[in-house]
Order: sequence, then structure tokens, then C-alpha cells
Amino acid sequence: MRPTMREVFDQLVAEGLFAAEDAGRVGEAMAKEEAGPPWFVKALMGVGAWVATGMFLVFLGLLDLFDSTAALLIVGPLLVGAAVFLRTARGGPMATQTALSMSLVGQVMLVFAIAELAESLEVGALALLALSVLLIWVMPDPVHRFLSTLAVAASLFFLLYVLNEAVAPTIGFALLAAGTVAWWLPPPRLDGRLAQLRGPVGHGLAASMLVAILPDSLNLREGNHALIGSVILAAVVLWVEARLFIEARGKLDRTAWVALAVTALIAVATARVPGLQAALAVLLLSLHRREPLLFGEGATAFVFFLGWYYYALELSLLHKSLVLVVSGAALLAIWRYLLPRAVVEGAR
Amino acid sequence: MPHDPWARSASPDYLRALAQKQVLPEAAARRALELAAGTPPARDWLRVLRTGLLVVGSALLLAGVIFFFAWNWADLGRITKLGVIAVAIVAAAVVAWEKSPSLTGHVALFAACVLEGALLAVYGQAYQTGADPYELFTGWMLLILPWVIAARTPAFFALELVLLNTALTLFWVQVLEGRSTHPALLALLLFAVNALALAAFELYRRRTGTTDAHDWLPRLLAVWCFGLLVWPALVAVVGNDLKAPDAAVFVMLLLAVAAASFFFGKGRARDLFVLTTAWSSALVVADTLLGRLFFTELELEISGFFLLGLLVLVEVGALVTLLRRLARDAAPEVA
Repeated sequence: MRPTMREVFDQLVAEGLFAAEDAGRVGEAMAKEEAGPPWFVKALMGVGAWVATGMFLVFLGLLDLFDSTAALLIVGPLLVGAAVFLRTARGGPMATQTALSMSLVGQVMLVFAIAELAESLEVGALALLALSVLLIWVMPDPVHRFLSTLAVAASLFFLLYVLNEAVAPTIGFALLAAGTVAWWLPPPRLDGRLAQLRGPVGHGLAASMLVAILPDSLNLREGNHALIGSVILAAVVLWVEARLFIEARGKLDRTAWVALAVTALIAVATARVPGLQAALAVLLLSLHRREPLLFGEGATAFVFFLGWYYYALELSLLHKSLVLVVSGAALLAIWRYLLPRAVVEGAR
Repeated sequence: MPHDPWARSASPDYLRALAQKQVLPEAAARRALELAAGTPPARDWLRVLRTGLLVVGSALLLAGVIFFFAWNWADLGRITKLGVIAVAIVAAAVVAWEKSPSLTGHVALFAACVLEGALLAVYGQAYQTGADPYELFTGWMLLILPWVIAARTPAFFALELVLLNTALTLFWVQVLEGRSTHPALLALLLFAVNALALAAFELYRRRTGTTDAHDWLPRLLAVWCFGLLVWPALVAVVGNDLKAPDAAVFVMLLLAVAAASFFFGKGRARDLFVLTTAWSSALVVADTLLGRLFFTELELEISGFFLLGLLVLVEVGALVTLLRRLARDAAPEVA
């Protein structure tokens, strides 16, 4: 999906932005540069932090610390502050692990205390929202930033739900969809704080959107919510597609209009499962920005929602199997006759 | 992980790190970022779309065929039923023969392998052979074995292993259950089979020098193998009813961790994912044992939770430090 360093540097040399004889120096620097731990090591750190956090929370709970709001209000912020300091000062895995665990424990204590003091879950959710936004900015840890983004999404959903139970999920995932697109569509920055936030916050937004669309996709709510969700997300997908064509070709030519029409048709056909549109939006963004992890999220969601779409069809098994065969054959016909290899390889 | 840093994927984070260290001048860094994260040319979009159409279209078609026969179309005679599937298998095999070794050929051959199962299921229903389900999966596995060997791709090996695991499990449940067999023995049997498969696959990869693109199968197998040992180990620790097979699980887990460390810990064969899986499995079981020691034997109660939390932090931190050191010591070659 992404070009290799070799391909990028060859292009830089061809464009005169880099001297070929500097390749040795760059190669040595790359050999020394640590590319960061692989995803499964980050996952191990995250799981370890959660388990340790759970243990510490139980320990504090058994000490009856949660009975004292004053203690929570003092210890919670201290833990969070110490975690930010530790993570900023030191970058090793032990410090990362400890800071993550301390911050999670401190946040739980602080939010719990605020909710207890105000005797209001809504105030607690507001506190979590504000704290998470602050920590996304100040805590220099990608796993933490991802988790904080999930917390922002969850607290926002809760607050919307309290305001209006009926439309909260629809507004919620519309906001998340808009946020995901607005985050991933522009080109990445080279420097600045926003450059560091791009990956963790972007993945958090995409994951939150895909989870938020689950109830309507699985038809867990009564009413036309799935249809409304599909309309909103189809509009998002069409807008993203149009933007990509304009960016690539400068205008919406005939190919673009055909692609948009096909996308709209697919949206109409799959309106009962808005998750498919959400997954499609994530896939488009991931391909546009060459993000393999985002592509994985989108592909997993697409397979899940596609499977659900066919499972939920209110047809007999015989008719369902015929629908599957016909749709499969149609896709294969497009593959064979409209997109033969020669056409693809000849495209620019 | 690629040993050659030039073969590394040009991620935005990596380019930013190089720019910050002033390895790249700013103009070059900005252009590199555009190249790495800019929208691909139309050809790449169409390639992805083409692959997606092939994979999704084939999956839908295959699912439709399977559901069609699952519906038990009673009006069809049994010869017709079997004939339709047989024709589909032959057609898929012909396409595979014509198009191999392309993706199209492999997808067609995979479809033929799946349809073999449908053929056996319909045969069993049509002729009421009285065969147990494990016999169906065993027959399916054996019938597609020549194609699996011919294809020599991970997806086919994965299918074969799924069928093997299913057949063994069904055999255990349907034939051996009720003969005082311990569940841990099933876990050990499945572990032995899958570990052998992993060893065979790794040997094949190392002899043929297959690229990193095939990493997913040994990693999936490693996760499955260690999962097979960890689960009964945890059940034994928590259940407080240790029998000989449980002890065997613990011994096997230790041996598996040692073997994984030896075979996947050195030189070009180093695979951090497998090492992470192995050592994490050992930690999970060890921590559960310690938890039992703290709360049941030593009766620490409150302080036990604090100690366990601290232990987890230290263990995971140490493991991650070791993994990162191994990653650095992989000695990337500078082209």
C-alpha cells in the first residue's frame, strides 16, 4: 500500500530534491533510527496497562478509597499529572507502561469523584470529555491518545443520549463520520503537535464510528434509524469520492459521475445496513492516505457488515442463496469484462 | 521486520523522525511525505477494486452455492444434486489449471476445495451413510490434500488445518467422550498436531527462502498453539483439581516457549510476533499461578491486588524492553 523508502528516495533524486550520493548517509541514519515498536508490542503494552489498572483499582476499592470523594479528588489528578510528566520525561517501555496505567487509574478516580460530588452522571461524562480532550493534547503516547479518543466519543454519545435518546445515536455517528473524514482527508503534516495526533486520533475516530453504527446496522432500534443513518453515511461516502476525483483529475469527469452513480446505487441497495457505508468510507480514506491499519479496520468492518446484510435478508434460504449467487456473479462479471487487467494496467 | 531499512515502508511517522533528525532537508521531507501519504495513481485504485471484486464476488458466489444446497432442495434427485456440485468442482479446477499461478487460479482452486465439502455433505445426506460428522471432515481434508500440496500457499494450508482440527475435535467429542478422557488431553493432541504443522511450514519456508508475505500463517498457528495450552492451564490453576494431563500441559507449555525462543529467536528466522505470543502465554499462566499463591495460599487479600498489578507492570515492561532490544539487534543491512 505504501511505497518503500527506496521508492520514495529514488523519486526524490529524480526530482532533484536529493542527491544520490547522500544515500549512504541516509541509509546509516535509517539503520540507527528505531521505527517504533510493532503493533503487537503496542497491543501487549496496552493490555498489560489495562490489567495492572484493574488490579490497582480493585486494590484502591478494597481500601475504601472510593468512599472518600476528597481522597479521590486529590489522588486522581496527582496520578494523571505524574503520568504525563513521566511519559514526557522518559520514553522507555517501563515508563510508557507505568504512565499509561497511572493515567487510567487517575482518570477513573477523578471522573468518579466529580460524578459523586455533583451527583450527576452527566457531569461525570462532561468531566471525562474535557479531561480526555486535554490528555489527547498533552500526553505524548499514541496508545493513550487512541484510548482518550474513544473516551471522547463514548462521553459525547452519553451526553447526546441524555439530551435526546431518539436522535442521539444518529447525531453521534454523523459527527463521528464527519470527524473521521475531516481528519483523514487532508494531507498529513510534517511537524507540529497535530502531526503526532494524526494516527492515534484518526484511528480512534474511525473505530468509534464503526462501533457507533452497530445498533442501527444490526437493527437494534425501532424505527427508520437505519435508513436515516444510510442516507447520512451515503452522503459522506459520495462527498469523499467526489473530493478524491477532483483531487486526482481536477474535475468530475464522466468516469467520476459513473463511479458516483454506482456508489449511490449500492447505497440504496444496502440501505438497511448503514455500517456498509461507514466501512466503505473508511476503506476509501485508508486507500487515499495509504494507511494499512485503517484499511484493516475498514476491511474487517466491511466483511462483518456484508455478512450481516445477507444474513438479515428476510428471505427463505433458497432465495437468499440465489441473491448471493446473482450478486457474486455480477461482481465477477464486472471484474472480468469491465475491469480486465489490460484496462487496469493501462490506467494512469 | 525487513532487515534492509530501504525496504521499510515509508510511513509518515518514520519520515517525520528522519526530518526531525535533519537527515532529510525540509523540502525533500515534505515531498517524501506527499509521495508516502498522497493519493495513489488511478492504476493502484483500479488494482484494489479489481482484487476486491474478485474476492468478494467469489465469496458471495461460493456462499450462495453452499446455502443453495443447505436448503436441501428436496425436488432434486440425488444424482442431480451430486452432479451439479461435481460439475462446479470440475469447472473451478479447470479455471485453476488455466489461470494458475495467478490470484484467479488460486481463488478458483480454493473454491473447488470448499465445494468438496459440500459434495461430501450432500453425499452423506443423499445416501444416509450413517457417517459421523468427523468422518466428513476427515474425508474432506484428505480429498483436497493433493490440491493443497499443489497450491503451496498459506490460505490452503490454513483450510487444511481448520479441517484437521475440526475432525480431531469432533472425533474426540463424538467417539471418545464418556470414556473418562480428560479435556486437557484433547488440547495436547491438537497442540501436537498444530505444532508439527507449524514446524513443517517453517522448515519449508526456510528451505525455499519464502518472503515475509507468508508470515501470517505461522503467526496464526503460533497463537492457536499457545492458546490451546494456555486455556487448560488456566482452568487447572483456577479449578484446583490438578491431574496428570494438567501437569503435562504445564510441561508442554514450558517446552513450547523454549522451542519458540530457540527457533524464532535467532538471526533471519527471528519473528518477534511468535516470541511475543510465546512469552506472553508464559506470563499469563505464571501470573495466574502467582495470583492463586497470593490469594489462596498466602491469603494476602488487599495487598495481593497491588502486588499483582505491580508485577504485571514490571513483567510487561521487561518483556517489551527485551523485544525492542531484539528488534534492534536484528542488525538491519544498509544497502
